[in-house]
Amino acid sequence: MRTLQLLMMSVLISVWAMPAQAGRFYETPGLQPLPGTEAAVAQAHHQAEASRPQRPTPPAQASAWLAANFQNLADAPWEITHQDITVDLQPASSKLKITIVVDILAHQNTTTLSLLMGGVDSAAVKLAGVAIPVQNQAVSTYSMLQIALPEALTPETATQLQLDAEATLDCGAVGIGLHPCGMGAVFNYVAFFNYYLSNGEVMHSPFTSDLHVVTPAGLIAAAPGALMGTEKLADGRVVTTFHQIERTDNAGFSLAPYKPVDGKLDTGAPLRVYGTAGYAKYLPAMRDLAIDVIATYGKLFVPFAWSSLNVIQVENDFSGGYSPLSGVFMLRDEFVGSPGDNGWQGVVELAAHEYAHQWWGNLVAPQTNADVALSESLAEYSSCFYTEQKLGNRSQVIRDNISYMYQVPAKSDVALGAQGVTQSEYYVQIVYYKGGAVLDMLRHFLGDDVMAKGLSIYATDFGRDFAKIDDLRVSMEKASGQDLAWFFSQWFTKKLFIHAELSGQIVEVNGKPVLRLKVHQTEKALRFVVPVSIDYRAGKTVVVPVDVNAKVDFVTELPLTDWPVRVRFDVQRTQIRQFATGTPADFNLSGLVDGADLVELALRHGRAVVVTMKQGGGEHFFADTSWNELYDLTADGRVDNDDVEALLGAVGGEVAPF
Amino acid sequence: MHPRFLSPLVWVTPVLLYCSACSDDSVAVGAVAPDTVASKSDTAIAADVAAGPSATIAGEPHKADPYVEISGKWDGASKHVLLTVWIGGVKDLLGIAAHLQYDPTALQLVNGEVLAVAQGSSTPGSYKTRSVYNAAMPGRVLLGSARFSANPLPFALPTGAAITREAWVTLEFIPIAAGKTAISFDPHSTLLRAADGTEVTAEWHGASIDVPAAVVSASVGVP
Ligand SMILES: [Zn+2]
Repeated sequence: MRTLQLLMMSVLISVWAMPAQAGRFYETPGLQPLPGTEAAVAQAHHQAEASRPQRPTPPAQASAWLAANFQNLADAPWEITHQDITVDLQPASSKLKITIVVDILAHQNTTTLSLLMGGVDSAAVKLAGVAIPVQNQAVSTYSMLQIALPEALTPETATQLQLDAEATLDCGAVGIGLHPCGMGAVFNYVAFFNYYLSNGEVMHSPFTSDLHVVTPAGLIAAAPGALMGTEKLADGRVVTTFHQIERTDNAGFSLAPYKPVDGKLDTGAPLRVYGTAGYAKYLPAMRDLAIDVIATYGKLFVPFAWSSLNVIQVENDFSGGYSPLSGVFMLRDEFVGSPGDNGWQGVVELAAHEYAHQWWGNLVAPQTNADVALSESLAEYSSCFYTEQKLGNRSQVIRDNISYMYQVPAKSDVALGAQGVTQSEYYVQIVYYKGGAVLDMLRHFLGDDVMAKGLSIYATDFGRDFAKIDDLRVSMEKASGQDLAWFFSQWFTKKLFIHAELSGQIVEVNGKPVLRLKVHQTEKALRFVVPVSIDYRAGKTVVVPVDVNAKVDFVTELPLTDWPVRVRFDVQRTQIRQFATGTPADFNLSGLVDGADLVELALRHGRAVVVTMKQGGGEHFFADTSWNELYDLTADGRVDNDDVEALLGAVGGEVAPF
Repeated sequence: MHPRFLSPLVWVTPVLLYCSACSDDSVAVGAVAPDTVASKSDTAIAADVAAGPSATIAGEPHKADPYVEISGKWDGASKHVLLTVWIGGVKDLLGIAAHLQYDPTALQLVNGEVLAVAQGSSTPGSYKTRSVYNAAMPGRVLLGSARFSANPLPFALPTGAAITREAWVTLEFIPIAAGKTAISFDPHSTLLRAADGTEVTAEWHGASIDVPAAVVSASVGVP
């Protein structure tokens, strides 16, 4: 389907010549992706995922307590040991009836309980069958429930409360993206609504939970957790129970005429893929993909931590996914594809991102909203790594890289680890795209093995716990034995990327050719290690990593075995960078602008990250994964005829001495 | 000046030696057209050649495809050396580039042109040849041709042109010193790429020009 769209788009777009801009670097005005392209699909998915309600910041006191008692649960004033939740969904009215029987264990005298859940219209609490007062205060999309206890809880004695609540869900219509819930003809699902009771105090409670889903006759209920069985109700409906042996405050469930396909993960944990009959032919491929992704991550990081995994198809006709602990919800069209199909890459990208959340976001949770990169950037990085390894191309990470660079205007940029990053207009581009590309850059700096070792240390040290971005730095330093403060400071605390002009020349030293290179940084002077490809004759290429120091002007010399045909920086786009020629149009870095540079330009002619819709006009971002801005002399986002003219005007130009 | 070009003639010597040993073969294979073997286009000036003293141009012939080689003739009317650079046996051409070297104390370049290479293009009209011709450096001419889509689109690959044999460059020199002099391609500068970007290995052949003193004295524009 996507290929067809892409072909259609190629007919509809034209690349218009733009007047040359003053600078050598493209200044993005903040373009939207071209409709129908992979970039647009990926963005719709990520925006849907990102639209999940952000947990309100816990009261300062609770935060302080969390910080002080990170690994010391016994000091909590009270904790939850079990939640027994019954959900009864009425699709016609979008009402969700919730009953939660919660087991509480106090460690200190406690007279009020403060608990958070998804926004509810009404809530009633009973203690030993007797109603007690509860205040329901709206906080963002949540309800903050203040429960006044008739008498202080007795320390170390279990207490059971029953909460009955009713919520009117704001379910989006069937359309693009994953909604918090959806009531369609086939699928009725609740994804982002938090029916678990939660709070700063209970975040560390190692509780278990049982989810009872009231299931109309003829439908199958699907939810994260181990399927414990069904029980028939008097009205003919059944109750389907899923048991979760791990703490979670995220879940979801779905009701549909599923025809599940079963498998087994490498850990031996059962896998179930819930898809409907219409998608039956794709389900085995989805199952095999899940098994391979989970096994791959298990080897790279730490083994899959949960006792089961349920992959659940829900409705909406575009892409999107959501990944609470031990469950993955994905939109129905993400189940359409088989290895080798045109659409398979997109299916794998999304699935691999969601499966990665079983580690990043669930096994290790970000401590604050400013640490959201530990969930989304790491999930996107993992997915990019998986597609690069298994599908043999870097198109996902390159698309992410350029989507950040060419969609986020400099004035709207926010640091990846900034407090307000989740509120940014460009949250997806910064946290998913830049974040994925930053970690890809770190992998190229450290090497695959050290990167995997670092993530393994991180998952081990912070498994079933919360972490800050700085904790990831410490894990990476443990793995590499290197000081990485510069990298994390540069890429997580600052809003920037590389802008550099590249100059080269070949000189003879003692009769042997030597390549002299100069990197001139025009924005902030950053440190980066860039692979420099020296192409000799007969297709021989030598790649040399060059560690560019954080100085405005960096000069180095590389010995050559022969006169090269050309020299190229960062062929695989491992850096978040815009490069330009320091000797304008000396693309091959020979030191002279000549016919060979014209041939290099011809090879890139027609590539563009900015395209104009023929119908209706309007410029859009186009994620051309072959894009190389070096050849865009006029800095208009297109390598087109004005660049040819610019080159022809520059022929004969020689490198300035350095 | 760029250090690479400090001694442009350093590469000429071996070519010259090679050519003086093989110039007769060029007649035999007929792949190049020295003035003594008039090709079709040379016929018109053949009479002038016979009319008076002339420079002799011997191109080094190619042995295999793909190749770039030079033919030349003496124009008795203008008393100029006319050279043609040929390209042949190239499949799926994207572009070609080189620096042509000559001795500026022996030859004065007065004219030159890069011609469009489009023969055999699978989509004639949809691609346009753009060329580099720059003779600003003494003794060195920067040459290049590449094919560009007339309507660039993302993912539009430059469909290649297959070239059996085509004139690529024409050059016109005034001989300003007597004796043998060489025309060659700087071996570090030669480049031929196919439409998919791969570098194509080709034979690059120069030529030698023998300039009798009588021709020099008759020339115009001697510095
Ligand atoms: Zn995600």
